Amino acid sequence: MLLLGLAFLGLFWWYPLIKTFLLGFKLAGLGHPDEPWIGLENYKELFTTPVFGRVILNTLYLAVVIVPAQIVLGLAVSAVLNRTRLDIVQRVGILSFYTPYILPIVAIGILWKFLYHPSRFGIFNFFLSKLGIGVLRWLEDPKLALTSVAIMRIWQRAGYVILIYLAGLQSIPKIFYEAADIDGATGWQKFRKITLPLLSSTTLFVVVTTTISAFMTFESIYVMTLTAQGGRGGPANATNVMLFYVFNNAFENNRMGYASAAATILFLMILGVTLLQFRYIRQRFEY
Amino acid sequence: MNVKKISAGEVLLFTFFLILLILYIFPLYWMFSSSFKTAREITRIPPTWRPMDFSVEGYIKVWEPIFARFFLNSIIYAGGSVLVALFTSSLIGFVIIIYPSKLGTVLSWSAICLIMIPFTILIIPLYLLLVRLHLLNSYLGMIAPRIVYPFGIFFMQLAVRNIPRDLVDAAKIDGCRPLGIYWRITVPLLKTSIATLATLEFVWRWNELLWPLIVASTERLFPITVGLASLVDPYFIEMDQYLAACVMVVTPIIVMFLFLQRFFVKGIAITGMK
Amino acid sequence: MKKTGLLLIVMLLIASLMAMAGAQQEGSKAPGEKVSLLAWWTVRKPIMEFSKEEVKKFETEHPNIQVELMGMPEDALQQKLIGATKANIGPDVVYIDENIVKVMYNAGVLQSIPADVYTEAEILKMYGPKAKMSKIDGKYYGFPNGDMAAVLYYNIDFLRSNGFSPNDIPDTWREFIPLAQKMTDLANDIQGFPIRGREASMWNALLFQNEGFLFRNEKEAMFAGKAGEESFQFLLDIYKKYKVSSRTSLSANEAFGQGKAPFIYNWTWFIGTLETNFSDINFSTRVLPTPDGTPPFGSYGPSYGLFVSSTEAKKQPAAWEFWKFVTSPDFQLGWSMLRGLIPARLEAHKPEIFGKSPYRALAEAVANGVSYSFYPDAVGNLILGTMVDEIMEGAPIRDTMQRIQDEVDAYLAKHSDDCWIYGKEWYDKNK
Repeated sequence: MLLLGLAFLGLFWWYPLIKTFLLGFKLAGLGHPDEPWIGLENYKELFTTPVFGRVILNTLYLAVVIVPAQIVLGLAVSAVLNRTRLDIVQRVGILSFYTPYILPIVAIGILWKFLYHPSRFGIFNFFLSKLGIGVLRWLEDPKLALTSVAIMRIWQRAGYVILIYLAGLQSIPKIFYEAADIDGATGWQKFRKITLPLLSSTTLFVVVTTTISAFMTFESIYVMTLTAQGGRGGPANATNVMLFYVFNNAFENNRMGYASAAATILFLMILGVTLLQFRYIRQRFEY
Repeated sequence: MNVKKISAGEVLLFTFFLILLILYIFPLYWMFSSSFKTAREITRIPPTWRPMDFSVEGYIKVWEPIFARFFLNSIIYAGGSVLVALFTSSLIGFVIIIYPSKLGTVLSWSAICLIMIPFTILIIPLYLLLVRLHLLNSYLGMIAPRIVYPFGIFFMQLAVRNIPRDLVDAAKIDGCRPLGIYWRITVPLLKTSIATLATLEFVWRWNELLWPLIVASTERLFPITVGLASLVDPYFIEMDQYLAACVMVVTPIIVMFLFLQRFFVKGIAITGMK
Repeated sequence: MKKTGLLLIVMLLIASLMAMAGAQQEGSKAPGEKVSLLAWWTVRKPIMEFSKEEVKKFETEHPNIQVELMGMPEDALQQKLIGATKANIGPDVVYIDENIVKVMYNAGVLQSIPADVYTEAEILKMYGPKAKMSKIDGKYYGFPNGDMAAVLYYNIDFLRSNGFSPNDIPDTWREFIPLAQKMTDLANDIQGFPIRGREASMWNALLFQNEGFLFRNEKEAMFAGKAGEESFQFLLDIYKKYKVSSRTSLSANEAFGQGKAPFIYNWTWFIGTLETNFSDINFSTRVLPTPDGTPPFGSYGPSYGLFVSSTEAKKQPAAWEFWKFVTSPDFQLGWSMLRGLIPARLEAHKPEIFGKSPYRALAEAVANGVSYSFYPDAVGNLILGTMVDEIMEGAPIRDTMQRIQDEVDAYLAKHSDDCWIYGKEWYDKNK
């Protein structure tokens, strides 16, 4: 049993992982069964293609926008949910905030493409024009498109963060707050001095998982940015992110070696974030 | 009953919270209500807050017999993956903890190392592997990489560790065989853990796009996510139909969520601890 | 010891998986003499429904052949087809988009037409001299179903209610724009000539109208020039100067389908969409206006195509039998009407159908157009995606065009095999 488990783990996890590294140095694809070695060619091309620079920046941008927004939203909402004395509010709150998270991004993406419609029946533009701000070309303006995707992701995933924070909050012993009450601390002081520090490991976890999930953005790009002539990832590569770039090169252009090199870089980015987490944890334990 | 006065700040906070809540569920409301509008009403300016000319035209136009197949495929893919993954995870977790061995430790560490690696990173070699094994465009090919599930193994180890050892030892003395112990003692005790993991896994697999998109070559094997994605054309003009399709896809999950809420919430709390 | 054991298990595992896969394939074969064919088809609903009906006829004529039509989204085809063929689960007959015919040929997916199916003399009789354009490295693999081109769609009722008739539509852009302006009311979401979502395609048509070309030859692009620049300026003017289209309103196709625009530019496949989805729109088509009212009206191109891709020698005769059926004049006629094509099969080119609205304009556009080139999405996304997006957003026209042209040239230097280019040099020689 163990051997079998190990074999499967090897075949479907370790082998592909190692193979991804190796393919990065090869010319691979369907129709190249011999997979000749080409050294650093793929990496050289990656770092000289202007589009790839854009892709990395886009990916980082998504993380930079999504992570703080989710943490603020998650903390705020979970704090309110935790304080409420009415069970029904908590349940309805959890239900409505959590629902988007469990729905397929494919469906959510189609819905948001509709909400983002550049015309005034697009509901966001309708509100904006009512407020006198004027209309936006959410997914069609290259300066705005990625942010639009990020907003959708924040909305979609916040429920997860809220639940994790809620679990974290509920594990804080009441006694801390009672002590603070005696000292006459205000609500904000209590939040800053007690809640935040005690939630720091939860926050770290949220930062890491949210960053990774932002790095792995794919479905929303695939569904929301399809246009007739530009394909996906547009306009003008404004929403071309790592995983989409990997997918596009591997499975649309049949450049599996090149795509594997890109996948390796994505893997290193994720590994970096994960290691950062471990390092931080160790530091905290040390002092 | 607490009769402490509610401060103005608190009222403000809750009002704000309520507004946020309404804003939050608005997109979903908009999807349901727009799906019952005619194509013409959807593009009306200003928008109508509820369907004025109630119509199910979008549903009728978009429905094709192949949709039933898409749902079936999703059930096979998500269900199959979950069943297999949970069986192997719990069995491996059980063996590692109850019958400690060097191999078990290796396996355990090997799984832990893999937890942080997103599956999607590995799709290129996996795809090439499936081509070579002639498993492309088959259920087996779709499910195969899910046969073992590193996080499941890790999670089940934790769960098995919490089982009182006395029970297991007593069974051993009674001459119960390992599989017997697994089936009669471990599984019943792990019911909640298994159900929790199963619920989450199922929804993740149900919602997954990339892997089935690559493995399924033809419509006959598309799960609902791939089917839905391929429905949308680049001009995005048949919005009534798309929204109707979205509602059809989303409704079963929402219903499932309402019934199994307990497991969902608990699952997040547990995976959050990992 | 442990290591060999592990190896053994892995091997066993692979063997069992392969056996299972093999068993699955075995199961899909029909028993006895009957041959079952798998055809990857277009997902377009009307064509699919038409084809299913026709296949029933074919099956009664050939009781020993069974055909399954399977819808394949076009954007997924490229990736799926090579993989499936390599894994021996590919289709026997396949519908392939023109952009990737060469890619599929290079990947060895396509089967050439054997002499016992059709000889070259027969082919030339069936398709005319144009058939030679389908030759790849001296062999025939398949043919376009027909030619397609872009035309101007107009809403007859819309024109009438504004006091105009279809005869009032001018032949030059200079006169056309004021007419569109008269019918524009952006405050009420009415656009005289919406182009959103069609900019790239229209730039391409304008380029040829302005006597420009996308490519010089197989190795060189040549769109960065005066013609390309003028075409972009015109598109930008439509939004900014003439204001007959808005970027924050309905897209071209939506607006026309909803009856909120008198005119749009589109290819002729849209005829089918209008008839199935927006049947209440009373529309017709005519050739596009041009800068001076004379041809060329833009580019036209063959729309490919049905091919045999069967890897099993046993199935190939049946596959060719079915291929003959779907390239027969009757089938091609039905397909062409639904897809908005002038049929390539000469016998299917019925004047009583294609001489009349809404196809007449197409015939005229094809007869007076410049033939189109085909290239994989990698190039298409550069030219019609990135370049058009950037320039429409205000990037400097000349520099952006030059930059993209250099990138295209770099791609062609490596992958010109995957492209099927009829450049200016070819056109001048063969016109």
